[in-house]
Amino acid sequence: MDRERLREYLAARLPSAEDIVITRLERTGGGASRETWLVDAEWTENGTRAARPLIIRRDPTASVLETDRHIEFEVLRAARQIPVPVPQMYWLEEGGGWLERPFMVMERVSGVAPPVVFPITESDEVRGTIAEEFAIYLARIHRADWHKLGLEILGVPTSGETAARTQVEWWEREYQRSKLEERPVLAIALHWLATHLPKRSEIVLVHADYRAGNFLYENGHITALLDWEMVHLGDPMEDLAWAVLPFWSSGGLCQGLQLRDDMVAAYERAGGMPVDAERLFFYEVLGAVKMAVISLTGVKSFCEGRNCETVLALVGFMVPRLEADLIEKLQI
Amino acid sequence: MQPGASEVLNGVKQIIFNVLLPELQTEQARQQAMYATLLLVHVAARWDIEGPLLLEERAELRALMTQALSVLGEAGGLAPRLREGLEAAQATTAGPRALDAENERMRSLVPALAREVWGTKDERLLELDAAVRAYARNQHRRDQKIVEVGGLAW
Repeated sequence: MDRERLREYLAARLPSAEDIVITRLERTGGGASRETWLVDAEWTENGTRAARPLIIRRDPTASVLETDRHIEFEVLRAARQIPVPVPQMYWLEEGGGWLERPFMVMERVSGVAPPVVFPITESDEVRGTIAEEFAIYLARIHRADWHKLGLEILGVPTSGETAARTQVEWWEREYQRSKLEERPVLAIALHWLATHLPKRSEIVLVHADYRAGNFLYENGHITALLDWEMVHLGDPMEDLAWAVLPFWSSGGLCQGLQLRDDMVAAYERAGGMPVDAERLFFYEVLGAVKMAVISLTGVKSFCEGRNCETVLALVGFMVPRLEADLIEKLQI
Repeated sequence: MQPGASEVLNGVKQIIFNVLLPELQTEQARQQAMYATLLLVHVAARWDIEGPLLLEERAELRALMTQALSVLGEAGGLAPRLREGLEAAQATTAGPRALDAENERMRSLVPALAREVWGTKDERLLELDAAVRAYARNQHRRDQKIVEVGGLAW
């Protein structure tokens, strides 16, 4: 990223700021779907020197996932009113004029992102608090009045069945688009999903990538919920199933936080939607398929030379583990 | 004697590791180089096992296609594609890439077969259903073997 272009951009966006200096511009390893850049900027405004830590999320040349950045930006703005902890969104640039590709600028919230499995080195007390907050924020997202937040822009499913069908068809299309070769287990699982759609559910705001690794924490508390790029309206069981997916488990703890039953109970206790075991199972199957397809999308963009992130090739090695889960669940 | 593919790949890995990596300035670039060496280790180790696994798969797919043809006959309109896949797999195939392409022709028919027989109560189709599931499980086992070489399994 061009430091001078970024400085010019900030000057255009902050007309009353003078003497803007970019003191840090550094790409971080996270963000397989968008590039994440850490930026420290300083400027003088009304005679006072100000320093601002920012995050820039820029579209990559190719991604594990092609998502609508405009929707992600609007949802993040709305999420502050739910309320759940999210970064303040500053600007969205949909063109490539400033920094070659579209990008969004947001507040950099302090905290660290845990790996996909919450660190075993953290104390039980911290783990317990994080698990509780994790459940509370998920319940709040699901209880949010998305009409009032103006989130019809996400597309409103007419029923739980429609919501499920939309997801299954989406991931089927992504599978067909991204597979390098036929994967029988995934194909069978997609057929099972299409023929076992749940009939009814509440329609709620679904984060769709709600897990450790996609939040920040500091001093034993969650400071920000991140990675909303797959957000949509749908069945609350979709998020809960994703959270308890065996793929993120270690030592029997979902995401390294809680036993599966405890995580489900914590969600209900926090005021989440009623848990339905059949729908939860359906969305666990969908979750394993979805994670496998996301991995295949990354592999394909690497193999076609559209993205040179070597980690995208490595994520393909996760797929057999997800398929093992599907073989067990569907008794293939 | 010429170096084999594994020797060449190992040599490239050593160059990345010992020559290029120490010169790289950013964490991002170093991480990329590390991942690239992991991939090379994997490809070198995979070289020896891929061919036999593809041959094993071809035999299983041919048996499955033959069984499907005999059970389904012309029902469901799959017969021409099944025959085509079987005919393509008649020839002696030279290398892993050609073998994989040949297998893929038959493999791509498995989803349609699964749709025909999945969860069937029809006695006539039960054996075929079991064979489709067995192939899917075996193919998964083969994939698992592939990703495990070179220490890359997640």
